[in-house]
Amino acid sequence: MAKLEILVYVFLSIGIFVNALGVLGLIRFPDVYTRLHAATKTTTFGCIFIVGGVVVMNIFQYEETSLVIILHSLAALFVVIFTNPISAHAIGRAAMLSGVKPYGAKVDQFSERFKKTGKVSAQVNQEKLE
Amino acid sequence: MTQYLFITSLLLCVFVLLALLRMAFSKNIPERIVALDTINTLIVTLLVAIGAAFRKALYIDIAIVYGLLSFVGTIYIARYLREERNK
Repeated sequence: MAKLEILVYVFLSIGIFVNALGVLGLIRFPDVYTRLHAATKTTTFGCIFIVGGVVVMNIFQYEETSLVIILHSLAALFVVIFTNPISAHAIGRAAMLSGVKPYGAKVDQFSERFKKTGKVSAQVNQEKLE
Repeated sequence: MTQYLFITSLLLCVFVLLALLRMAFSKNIPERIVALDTINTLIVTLLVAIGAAFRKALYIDIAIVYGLLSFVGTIYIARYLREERNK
């Protein structure tokens, strides 16, 4: 029984630590893309561990509402895992197509390739930038 | 164990405030959207922790609906940003 209690503390501590790293990266990094890299993955990972701690705690202290809490927390975790990478991808693509350059970038292969293949959106942005 | 869940919730509130400061003091729109997406994920985690601390399943249902709606909102803002610059 005591081992399960230690497992709850360890899971919640890992979750808090990883979320803190994500917010630290969000504050300190200079650019949109580096901030996406820092913030999205770490918050998903921290959510996995905090929901894991909640599930183990409810198995340890089993009451009549515990089963509902476990199943609904796992559903919330499912939602976070499946929607967070998609929204991060959408933000990165929208930032790139709206003409935000990466920090300290010298070569822009994205705009060159879209100039060759003739997609409209990248061409318009390239003309606006020049 | 329940006290540790309350401490977790408090620290997550502090993280949400820091991300809100980041959203207030940033230069352009995509950086604000990144901070908003981080705040949404942190709030889903916070609602799960609070629902487990108070032992109420209603908060966790709210967390599920909030996650889905924030996903739709982020996708919509990203699409708006793309179409607005392409006009």
